[in-house]
Amino acid sequence: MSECFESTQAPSLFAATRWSVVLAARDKTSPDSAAALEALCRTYWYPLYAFVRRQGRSSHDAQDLTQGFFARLLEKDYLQAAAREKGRFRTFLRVALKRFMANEWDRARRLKRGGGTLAISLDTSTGEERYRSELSDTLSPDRIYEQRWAMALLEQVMARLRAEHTGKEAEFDQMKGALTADRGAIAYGEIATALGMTEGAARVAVHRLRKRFRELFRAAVADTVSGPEEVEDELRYLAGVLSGV
Amino acid sequence: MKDKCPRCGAALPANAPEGLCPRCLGALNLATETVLPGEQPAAAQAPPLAPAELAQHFPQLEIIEFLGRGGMGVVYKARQKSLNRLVALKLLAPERVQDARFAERFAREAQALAQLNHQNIVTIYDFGQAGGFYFLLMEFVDGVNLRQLLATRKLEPAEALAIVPPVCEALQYAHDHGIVHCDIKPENLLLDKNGRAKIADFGIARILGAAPSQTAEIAGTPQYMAPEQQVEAQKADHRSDIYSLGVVLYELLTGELPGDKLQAPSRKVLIDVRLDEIVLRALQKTPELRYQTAAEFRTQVETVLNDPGAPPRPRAENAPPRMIKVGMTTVTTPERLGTFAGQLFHYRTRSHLMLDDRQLSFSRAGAMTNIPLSAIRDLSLGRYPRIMNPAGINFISVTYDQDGETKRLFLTPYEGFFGFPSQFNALIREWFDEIQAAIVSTTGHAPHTTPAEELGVPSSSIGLLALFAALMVPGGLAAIVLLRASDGKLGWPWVIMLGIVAAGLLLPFALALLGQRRRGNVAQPSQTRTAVVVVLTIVGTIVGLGILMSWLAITVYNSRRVPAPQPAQRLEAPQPVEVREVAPLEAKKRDVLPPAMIVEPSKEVAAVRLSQAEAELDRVTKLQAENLVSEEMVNQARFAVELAKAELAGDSTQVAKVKLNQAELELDRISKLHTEKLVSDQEMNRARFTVELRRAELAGDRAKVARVQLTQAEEEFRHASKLREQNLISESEYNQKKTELELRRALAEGLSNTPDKIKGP
Repeated sequence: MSECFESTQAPSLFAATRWSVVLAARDKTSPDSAAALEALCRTYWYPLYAFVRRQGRSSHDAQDLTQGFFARLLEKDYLQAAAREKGRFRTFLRVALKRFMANEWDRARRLKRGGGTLAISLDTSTGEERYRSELSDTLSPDRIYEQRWAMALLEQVMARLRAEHTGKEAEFDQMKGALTADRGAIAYGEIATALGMTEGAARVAVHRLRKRFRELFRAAVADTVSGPEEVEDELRYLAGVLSGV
Repeated sequence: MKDKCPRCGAALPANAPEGLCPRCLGALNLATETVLPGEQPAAAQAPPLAPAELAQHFPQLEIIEFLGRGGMGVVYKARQKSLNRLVALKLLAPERVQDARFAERFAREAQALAQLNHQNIVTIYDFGQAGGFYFLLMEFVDGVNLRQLLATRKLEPAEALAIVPPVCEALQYAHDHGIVHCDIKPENLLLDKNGRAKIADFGIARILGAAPSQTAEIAGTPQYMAPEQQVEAQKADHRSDIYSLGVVLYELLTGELPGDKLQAPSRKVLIDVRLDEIVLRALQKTPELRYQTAAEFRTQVETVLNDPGAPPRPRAENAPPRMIKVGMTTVTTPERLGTFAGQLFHYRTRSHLMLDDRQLSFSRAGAMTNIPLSAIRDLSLGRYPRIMNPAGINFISVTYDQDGETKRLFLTPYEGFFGFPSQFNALIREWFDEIQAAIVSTTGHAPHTTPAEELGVPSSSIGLLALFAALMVPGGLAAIVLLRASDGKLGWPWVIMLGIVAAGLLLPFALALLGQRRRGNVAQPSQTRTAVVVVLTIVGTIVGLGILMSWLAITVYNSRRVPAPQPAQRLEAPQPVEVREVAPLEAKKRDVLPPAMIVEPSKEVAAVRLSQAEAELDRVTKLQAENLVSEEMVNQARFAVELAKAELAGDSTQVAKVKLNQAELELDRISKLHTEKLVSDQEMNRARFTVELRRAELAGDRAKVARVQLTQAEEEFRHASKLREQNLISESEYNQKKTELELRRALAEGLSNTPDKIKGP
């Protein structure tokens, strides 16, 4: 999943993360920034959907709204405002959605009827199933949004981690439990036996997996912030949100 | 039955990724782990044995519980039977027993610690081998480690500092014995219930003077390691411990680790500036520039601890100032206040105001002005010109010397934006008293105070008054134009409103006159009452006069005017609300086929639609009353009701009329937005098309309808092709447009069986 962005910035590794590319792009129709934004939207549309539903909109409305919002996001100059603030994608998205709901939703409803141009197709029908299955009656819309966001990020990371083990799924399945086990509690012996390797090799593999998980998580977080100094903070914040899930 | 996470015990949520606990996954990113050299997987750990299993290996102990993992092994709480005391049992993982290097380090740790006997170091009681393990028997510390403490709360600077001297003492003691810890970090600093600090986990201790092992090992926790330690472990000496402790202290004080750009802690938290020096010195990259002994570090810290409020030293910048009051204020000068611009733009002078025991300062946009308390000659209360603050807000006048000149400032501290004048004035009074008290305690005498009348406050600028009036007149006229009632007459509410407008015009002049008579009086109670009475009387008179005059004017206006003809009821809704739950298929057909070919919905369906539309209108009206939805939504709902009524009546002409109205209004609205560039050309065209379509439908001209729809489809297809080139649209969308176009073409050519054959993807 490596993206090569031809950014006009200095070739630091950080310039290549998605949100920073989007923010840096002066021309919003540049293919890099559009692709980056689309990728971000694909990953994080569900938290928005849950937010809208939690606000009291019906499922149908919420689907329309989410689709309409993203179409508008990719079309209009919402990003100009964001670039000035240089904030995190997570907060930007929610603020933009609220603005959209207040101002443009009425007009945007016609998108569906007149056959609006949907520049990004989202699978919003599965969103409703998921929303119903997640019990969260006591949470406010903002809280739901934050939690679903953190979960979306986590899922993305786990999906990537799994994808890196194509061909070695058995290994991955055996070892993934080690990601959340206490370090004193990892049964290296069992893993070694199950996978037919020495215990030493099992230790190495587990350690590598944990390390890789951390790297991917960090990279996913970096994708949504505007500068390296924000990564640590956002990491802590998300860990806090996840602990309340 | 819900699964639980084996680590944290929380219930697993339904959508747990890969079936793992999200909480623990998140926490995984935050762990600080000690890196042991030469091993890719960090510290070897065996699964904890059950206490019963252990007991057979340690007959002399009663194993109580598993405590957790230390730097290199697992730790249990136990009781030494013979001596009846609590101990901590640290175990090396059994499978590592065969690892000679590991065993060597373990033995080293034990022997090194055994040499140390200090109240702030975890005491070693015994070590050895038993049943295939290496073990350490240590003092049991009933408490938490510093990391755990930090996780629960932020420490006060005093608390953080209090930990340092005993730790330094212990380190000095260890250093004197030639032992360097090499892994000082919050996890290794324990605090028992009595608040005593103890250093634990001398696991990577190097004994100075002993032969370095063949492979130069780099061990420690990266964030806390001294630079020379990170590069080459052999170069690490006791000063590396001082660095690590510096990092810990920095973290305790500021809550953060020192980053690449090292910032003084006092910039992040409110602490004594002397601490900056201490911490920064401990964090010097070059060992030679740090404190050379832990004892020196300790002495410096103790000096600050014992000497908090030192009297001001001759060099003022060293002694920490004591903050008395902080807040926000507006700032202006008498000269500015006399000008039009100064009065109008007064709100722009907002600044932060700070009073400490040595000076009064305010800062705005980075520029700071400091006024030493001893330089203040005069401190008084005054009142603003009426035009700026009819409510009668006071200000503080400060006259002071600077660089040989005498300067004067007017300050108005404030908190928030709304409140009664009395609240504002109370705050202003507070500040006044505090500043006065501070001056007295610094200089020994009170500053001069001038009564308000003599302060020479400028009166309301005529220019501002003129501006005020100039704004009210067009405002009033605009109100008349915009809010004309449908029959062209102006009713009673008009009279009142115009009366108030007229009063508004005249009021500032009246106040200015008042202000001129009694310049800048500080409100005294009896004077306030008379002032209020006078002002109210004048206001009342003017409003009454205004109402009278406007009533006369309006009567004349009405008698001359003939009511305009009633325009057709034009509601503003853009589109009817689609009642989706009932027969969506019929709606789709309606869009595709010309009106004559519509399959008429049955009466029941139409009745249901009508009641749904009415219910929706009800709902939306209620929401609108609470300002939760826009007026547009209400109009949409009204339209929907109209439409449903017409449908129920089976009056297709009426239906077409209603739709045409809707479309025309929508076109109106879109045009306005379009001139402001708030909608795309695409939107604009769509609105135009819709109007044409509805016109054609009303005329019953089927051929025209089909032609309009064809043109529209062509337009949409053109647009879609453009987007497709830029990859902004999905294939399926594009194909939809294409299909739509073909459909329209076929319809326009009058093929009546086509709609069933051609279906979208």
